[in-house]
Amino acid sequence: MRDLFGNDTRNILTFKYRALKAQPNAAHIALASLSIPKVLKRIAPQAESYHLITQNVDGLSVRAHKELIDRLTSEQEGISDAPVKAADDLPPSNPTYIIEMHGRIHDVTCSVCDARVANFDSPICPALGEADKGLDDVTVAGSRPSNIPVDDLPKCANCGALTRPGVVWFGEQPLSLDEIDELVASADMCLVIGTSSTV
Amino acid sequence: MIVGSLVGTQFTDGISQVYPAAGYAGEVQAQGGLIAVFNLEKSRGDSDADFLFLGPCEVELPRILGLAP
Repeated sequence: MRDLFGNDTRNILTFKYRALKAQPNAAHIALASLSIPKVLKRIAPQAESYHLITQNVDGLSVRAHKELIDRLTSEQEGISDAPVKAADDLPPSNPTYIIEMHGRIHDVTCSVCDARVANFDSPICPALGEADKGLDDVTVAGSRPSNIPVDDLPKCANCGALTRPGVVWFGEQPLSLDEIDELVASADMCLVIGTSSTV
Repeated sequence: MIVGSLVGTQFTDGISQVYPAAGYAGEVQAQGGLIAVFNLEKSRGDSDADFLFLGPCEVELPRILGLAP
């Protein structure tokens, strides 16, 4: 049952809440910039493609991608005689180069069927909000049991089963492994960026 | 040439309990690919990397890639 919203609720929602408040940093933006064909050409002239595989579930890589597009296109709008940016000067409209292999904290998935929807509400339902008052106090995250009736937990719009956060738990298979294996098998350069944590 | 970035992991020899991402960098290197590690501090496996940049990645990545805002 720990893979449902009813348990580990405080940990999950505290993280979701903090992830919503977080902003992409210069590293996220730099990695998004590599998806701009002209930038990649300058930094890695022989590169045929660029891919970003993240184990983070905070969604910040995708947000950085969108912010970068907004920034570059609004720069253009501000100047009437600015040269129109070519496709090579902008990131692709969809961030298909990003693989979030451990899922997304802002997704809600069904515990039974394959439904997956983005949900940026925090909390995602009143009962969970009540159980998680004082989310800024991270020291208590997970320390209080949540005895929320199943009836009050969010259900799948598709099949009515209980939903769960769209992240990969320990013991579960990460997402897109076949695609990742193919990329790893053909990569000529790999930037390893991140933590020394044990996960 | 294919360039990849792997975010939020540790570069190890692949025998750690971290599966499967821990082995990706080693796999790329085994087939002749280059590995650049960006991390706050030293960690196991760093000596196998071709390049190692220690410091906050929001500083080091833009600096090394020449993408300073």
